[in-house]
Amino acid sequence: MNTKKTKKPLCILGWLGLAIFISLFAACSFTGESIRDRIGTFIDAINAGDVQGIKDCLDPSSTNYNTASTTNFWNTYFPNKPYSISGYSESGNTATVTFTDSSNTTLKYIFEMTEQKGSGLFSPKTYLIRRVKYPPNSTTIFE
Amino acid sequence: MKHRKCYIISFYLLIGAGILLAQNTMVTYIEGSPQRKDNKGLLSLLDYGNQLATGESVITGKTDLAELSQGNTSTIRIKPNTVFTIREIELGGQKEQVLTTTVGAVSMRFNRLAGKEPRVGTVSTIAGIRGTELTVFAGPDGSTLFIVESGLVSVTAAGSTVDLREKEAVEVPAGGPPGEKYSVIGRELDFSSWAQGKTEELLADPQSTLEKSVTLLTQFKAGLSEWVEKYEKARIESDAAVKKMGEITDTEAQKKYQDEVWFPLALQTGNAILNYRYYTLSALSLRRYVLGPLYMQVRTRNMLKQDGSYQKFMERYRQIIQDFQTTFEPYTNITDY
Repeated sequence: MNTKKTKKPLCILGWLGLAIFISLFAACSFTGESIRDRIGTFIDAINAGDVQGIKDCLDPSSTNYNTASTTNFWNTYFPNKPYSISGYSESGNTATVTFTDSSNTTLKYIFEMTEQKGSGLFSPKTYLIRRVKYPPNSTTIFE
Repeated sequence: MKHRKCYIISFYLLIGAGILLAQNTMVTYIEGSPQRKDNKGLLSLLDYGNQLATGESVITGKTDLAELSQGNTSTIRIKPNTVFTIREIELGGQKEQVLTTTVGAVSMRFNRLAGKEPRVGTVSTIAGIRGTELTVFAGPDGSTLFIVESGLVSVTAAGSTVDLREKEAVEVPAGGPPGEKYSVIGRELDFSSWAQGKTEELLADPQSTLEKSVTLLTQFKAGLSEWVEKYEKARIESDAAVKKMGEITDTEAQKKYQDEVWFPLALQTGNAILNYRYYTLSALSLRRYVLGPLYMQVRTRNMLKQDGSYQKFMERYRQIIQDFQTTFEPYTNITDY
């Protein structure tokens, strides 16, 4: 009688644990991080002068990955911090983003992203910045 | 034999056709409402398929874009707020076509194998090109910035010529000769793989390894100093442009200033940073993967016997590190270590 009583809650707990485990990993694999999320993180890092945060958003295979990992470089192209995203469009792995500063001056950049797939079964998909261009002339500022 | 003759004639006909095509400039793409200004000065809407003659111009507004093609020779992309003209000048007794950006920005791609390449430039500058992709920024103050993506460009202004190669750029002030060219060097040197498996070789004569490293560090120091100086100069101009940009109240005028004045200055500043960081990080890599391990090995191997050569090595090493700390470390940050 006693055995039956203890087995039932244990069984429920087991199922509950399994459900939590599955939902946790499923959530990870389904949500991941969008291109917009990454660019949001990137501009937040620039605004905060967080050089490690900036570097974490860049694709290590980019030629200027190390040389551009300095606040001086990004402050040159975002000279009136803080910036917020005020316009966004996406096509494939390329995003065209308009940033606005506190005095309402806008800056537009094109971000070419590389998709990063995690090595694990449930690893989320993320994006890193591979190339940044200034749109009126499509001049590359980072690659 | 008859067939061979046929082939030769066809070959010359093809070349002839290629040259003829190279002189015809056709509109292949348009966005917005770019205008065409003919030789009589009359304006009309530019249309897809239009053939442009020498002396004619394409004028784009703030939302316009036009792409021209010269057969298989070149593709010309005319950006917003630009005046682009096909001019003809006489050089060495021969008439030559010059693709002129009077104001604004134009990107051009030339195919090396497809006939004679035209010259490009602005009112004050002319550039000869060879199999090239380049962008020409013509500022409202008459200055020009040439940026070469690939190939070779010779920029001539006020009797002076500068040759530009891949990833090199030069600014030409109005009426003056080309300034000093600058380039984006690229990824820093990585000594980690270079030093691998060379421990014994480097330890055979540690003093000599130190001196070889000093030679390299001296080169990096010279490069760093050159680019920091250029950066400081460019940053002052770029900051002044940011300030001026903030003072412009009209949105359209502000955008025009941003594209034509601020951005070329920011690009020069940004490229100078990439270049001084190249020298800094190359020096850091040398210190980390060559000098550091060398120091550890020499110290470990001489724990019991610290003779004159050991003392000499240690003294020299200390000098090098001290110099590194004052020269390169101010340009590093936490992500570099």
